[in-house]
Amino acid sequence: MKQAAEGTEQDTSKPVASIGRRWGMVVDLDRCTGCQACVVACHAENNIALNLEDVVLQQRAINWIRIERYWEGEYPNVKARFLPMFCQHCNNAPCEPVCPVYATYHNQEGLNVQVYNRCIGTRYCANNCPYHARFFNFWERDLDDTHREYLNPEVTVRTKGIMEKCTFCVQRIRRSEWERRQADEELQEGDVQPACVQACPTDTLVFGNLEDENSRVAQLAENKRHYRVMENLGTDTNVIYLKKVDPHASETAPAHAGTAADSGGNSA
Amino acid sequence: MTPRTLRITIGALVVVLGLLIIGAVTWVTQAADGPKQPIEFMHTVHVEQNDIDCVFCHRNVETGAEATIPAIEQCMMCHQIVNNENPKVTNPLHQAEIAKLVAHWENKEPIDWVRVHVMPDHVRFVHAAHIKAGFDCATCHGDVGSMERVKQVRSLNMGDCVACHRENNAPTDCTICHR
Amino acid sequence: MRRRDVLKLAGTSGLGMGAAVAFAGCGTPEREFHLQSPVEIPEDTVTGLDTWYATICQDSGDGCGVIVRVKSGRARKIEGNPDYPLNRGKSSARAQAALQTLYNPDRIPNPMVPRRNRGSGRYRFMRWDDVLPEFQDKLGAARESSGIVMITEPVNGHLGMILERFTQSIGARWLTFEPLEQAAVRQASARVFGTTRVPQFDIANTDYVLSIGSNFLESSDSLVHYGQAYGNFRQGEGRSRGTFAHFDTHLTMTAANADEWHPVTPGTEGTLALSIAHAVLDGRPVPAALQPLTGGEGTLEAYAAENVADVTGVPAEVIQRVAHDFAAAPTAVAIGGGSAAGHTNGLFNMSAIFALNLLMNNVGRTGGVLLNAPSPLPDIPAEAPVTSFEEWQTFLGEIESGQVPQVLLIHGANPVFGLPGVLNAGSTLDAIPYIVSFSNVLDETTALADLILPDHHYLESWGTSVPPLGAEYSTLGVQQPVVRPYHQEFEGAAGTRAFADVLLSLAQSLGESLAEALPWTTMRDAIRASVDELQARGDGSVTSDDPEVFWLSVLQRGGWWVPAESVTADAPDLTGLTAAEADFSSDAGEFPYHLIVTPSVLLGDGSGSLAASPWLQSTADPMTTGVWTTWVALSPQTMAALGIQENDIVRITSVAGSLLAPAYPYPGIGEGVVSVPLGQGHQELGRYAENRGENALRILAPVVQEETGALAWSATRVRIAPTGRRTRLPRIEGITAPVQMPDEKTFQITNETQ
Repeated sequence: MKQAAEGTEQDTSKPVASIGRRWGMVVDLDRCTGCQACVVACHAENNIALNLEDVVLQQRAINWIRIERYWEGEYPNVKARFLPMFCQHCNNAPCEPVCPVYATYHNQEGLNVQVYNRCIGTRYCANNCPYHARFFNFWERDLDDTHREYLNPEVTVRTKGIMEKCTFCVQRIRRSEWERRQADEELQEGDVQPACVQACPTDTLVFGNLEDENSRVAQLAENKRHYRVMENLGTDTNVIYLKKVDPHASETAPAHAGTAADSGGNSA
Repeated sequence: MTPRTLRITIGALVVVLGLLIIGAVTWVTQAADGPKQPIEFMHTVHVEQNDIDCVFCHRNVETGAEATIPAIEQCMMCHQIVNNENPKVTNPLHQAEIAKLVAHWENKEPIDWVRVHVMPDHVRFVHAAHIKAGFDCATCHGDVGSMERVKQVRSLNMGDCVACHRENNAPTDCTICHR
Repeated sequence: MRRRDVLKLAGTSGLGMGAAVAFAGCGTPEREFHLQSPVEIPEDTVTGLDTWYATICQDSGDGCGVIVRVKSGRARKIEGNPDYPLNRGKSSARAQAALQTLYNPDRIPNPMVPRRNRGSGRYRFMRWDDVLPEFQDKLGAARESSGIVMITEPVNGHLGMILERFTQSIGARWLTFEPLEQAAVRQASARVFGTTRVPQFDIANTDYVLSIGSNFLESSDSLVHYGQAYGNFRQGEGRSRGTFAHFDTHLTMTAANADEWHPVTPGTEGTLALSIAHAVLDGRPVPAALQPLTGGEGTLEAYAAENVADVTGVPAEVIQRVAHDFAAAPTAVAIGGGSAAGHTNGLFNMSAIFALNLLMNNVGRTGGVLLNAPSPLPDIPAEAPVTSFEEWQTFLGEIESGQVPQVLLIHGANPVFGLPGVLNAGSTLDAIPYIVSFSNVLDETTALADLILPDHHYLESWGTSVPPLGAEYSTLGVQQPVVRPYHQEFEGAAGTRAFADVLLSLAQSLGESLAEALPWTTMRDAIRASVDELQARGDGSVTSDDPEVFWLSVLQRGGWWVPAESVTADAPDLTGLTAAEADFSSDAGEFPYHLIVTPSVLLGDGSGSLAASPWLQSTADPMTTGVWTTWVALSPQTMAALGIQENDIVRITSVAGSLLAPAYPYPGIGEGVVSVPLGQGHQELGRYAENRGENALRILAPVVQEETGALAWSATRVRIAPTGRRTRLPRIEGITAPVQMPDEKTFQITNETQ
């Protein structure tokens, strides 16, 4: 924990004084179908490097959001489960204290921020992230001329040697902020939708201000199916998952780490 | 001199020389006039003499991130009339420069201006937000109206930005500019 | 590569006249230090600001409504159109990836003719004015002898109308190509629901979904629509959680989302459906409409659960329980499709499955089967005609026997890639003396062309679409150009031209009946004329007294729709449909495994140019997480029996050919079944697609469904042999092995449904 000013009345369980806004996401696992729309939407919005075949084979593919797939049970009682995984924007983020140059820090809106121009590429943060949500740029971008045309001008194109990860589409947050400010208005519920949320056909992903108790995300976060991934680590994430509902859950084994198919770990 | 000290000396020399060159370049660019542009566009004529508002040409400055350089169509709104053959344009320099603009228009060829205020790639500056907060263009750009050639008057480095944000109680979160 | 490059590049070409040509030679770092005064910008473009244009996505396969962010003359991002009835603001991976088919480095920028001979693979760029006269002469000559053939993808909307009139008036034969033919689904729909437009299954509002083979979340009329419906079905507000039972040959992505999935023996899906019907009836007499399915018995006794358990591979108690739940649910819907429709008895399978809805009496009811609203304009077709496989065989047979057409026109279809390899479509079509392709990427069929007249991308051209699903609204989606053509006609560069516009101007020059049937000079005019008709109606999503305002508002909203009046259809007629067993291409001894070709949720069946998108190529297949290539999904037991390890290259051999691909141990597949994903195996299609993976369509046996004439694409049996070689299947899985807490599951499940 850092920066918690003493002697104030703020919630000291949170590392940073809040400004009445804590961005968070609810992921309803009972809705997710695994269709990958969020993955491609994220690539399109955030200028993520192309994961060419060699890159994948070298296990250096970058996906800010991925759909993990968990096999469960044995044929024919086999099941597959889908879990969208991305930066959990932890309130106690393991990646933050290990950065020697403060390139990753927690801001007052609950975002775990990666500052590209500070990053020197030690990769300590990625090693310390239990969610494997951080990705390193091993190469300088080598894009076809035509593939430059659709790049998002609001997002930095990362160069070699820099760590990157999900930002909750902070460029969209900032944009909505100043657009509202132009009209002398406050940011409203529903103004900001990260690319994955906007694309998701099933409404698995819901984004909003967790500190606004009337927001949809705050209400869903209170759903009795809620849990956080690896809650025991005390990371206090701003991403809340809602458990998958399976009426036959007791008939099959609980999700386990891998089957014969998964020699290399069980997540996508 | 041992090879080791030789290497150190040479290394030190290279560093010093490098610093000198950087210093010289900075001094030259700071002191000199702004860069030469493909057309000698004169803010003096447009702003000082004809009293045209900045927003008349940089029309997105109040609504968008970029103030934007006007499209040639917009230049031609006036220069259709105020062209190089207009008898009221008497200065030969003006005639020559307007002729260049008209040539670009007739050839449908965009003009490549030399950028004066170069922000690094990882910085996002939103003009509209600053204008909305009540700042004058001149706060950052200086008195452009009096410049024959536009030049940068403020360092506009991160320290400059952050200091100003602090003075004005504006947010200083990294993501305000870096994203 | 810096952001400023992005801005600068866009500044030059999108807004300036230069298009790609203007900056082909630049690449200097000083670019960053330039700013531009653009010239000749479209009047609605404000430099530096985002503009969002509504249009229709043609890449996603369903014509969903999208809005496109355009900044500095370039399309930057695609989102769902929040107004559009089909997809209500949502989008799919394919719709998102259209940016990469638009800015595909391997798009054909100019008209081209092959250097020296056809198929040399080397081309010469041409100007439109230099190639069109000869083309027109050849067309004119071929018209005299009725020697013109047009091959396209199945299209509806205005392009469908124009193609129909064009081919009719010029006396051309029009063939459309659908690789995985859905004729069984359409005809079963006609028999059971009285319409060949496959209805909208109201998943969003039903309590129970029974799917036999239908992978509606990954390959259906509209993934986005059904995805959205599924979300509501599971956790929609104000309703209880729906229940979903799925039977299929293997655990597909859709099956993985079901509450229960049961493997079914390929080809017995209809039998299973009748068995469920038997259990649903529970001793009551078989309704008259379903009588033909009993084969004259009058009862379905033969289909009692215990009688069919062995054949179908589904335990009797499962059949009874599912039937009970299905019948007991307040609302329930039965969906069929997928590989079940691709057997020789596909029509029986589909009809039997769809007929379950008649038992529930749910047609036209909320939570049941909703018939689609018709096209709002009588002359704009909602349905796309599909040429059956049998007709394709006849066509190719005629060429082989010497009846060779003189001119072949191709647009949007790739039969050389998609037809079974034994038909030798490539070498057969090669006999046609003059082949013209309108494709804007070099695909396998276009590689045969003597002249390539590249079409615009859909984001650069006009069009319309009547959504495949939509019971609530009668809709005309309007596709407008959102950016100027990337390869623009300009001095020195010939550029691309919209296919429809080329046809219309040909019609004008060829004159007579053609010009009469197609009185417009551009697609825009044709659409404008229709939109004016809509304006005259005075109702719907947009109304205005001023035609101009109406037109602009329609473009702004992405189309026009009006609440549908009650839709009527013919009564069910299952006469003559009797239970049939599936025939397979070959005997089970020599070819012991069923080959199930599975369309990819990302790349589809491989037709079209989706495989040219590195985003789609590198996005994980939901089940295997494989990317960039083809694999063979095998049961781990089968692999052990054959001595095959993961990543071993295996040879899959059918009567029609063989393919090589790495084996993937797939926990959700039975021992008798092999699943191979589609989408890869292109010889052409540019740097990101060519020469990767295998095309399983190639080794399909040319077995025909008798009643529909369609290809029975599930009827192929194969044998599997190890090759002794190994490779590494590129997969996303394993790149990021998660930390598993010993006492805390990452994926958590509850069995409380409320």
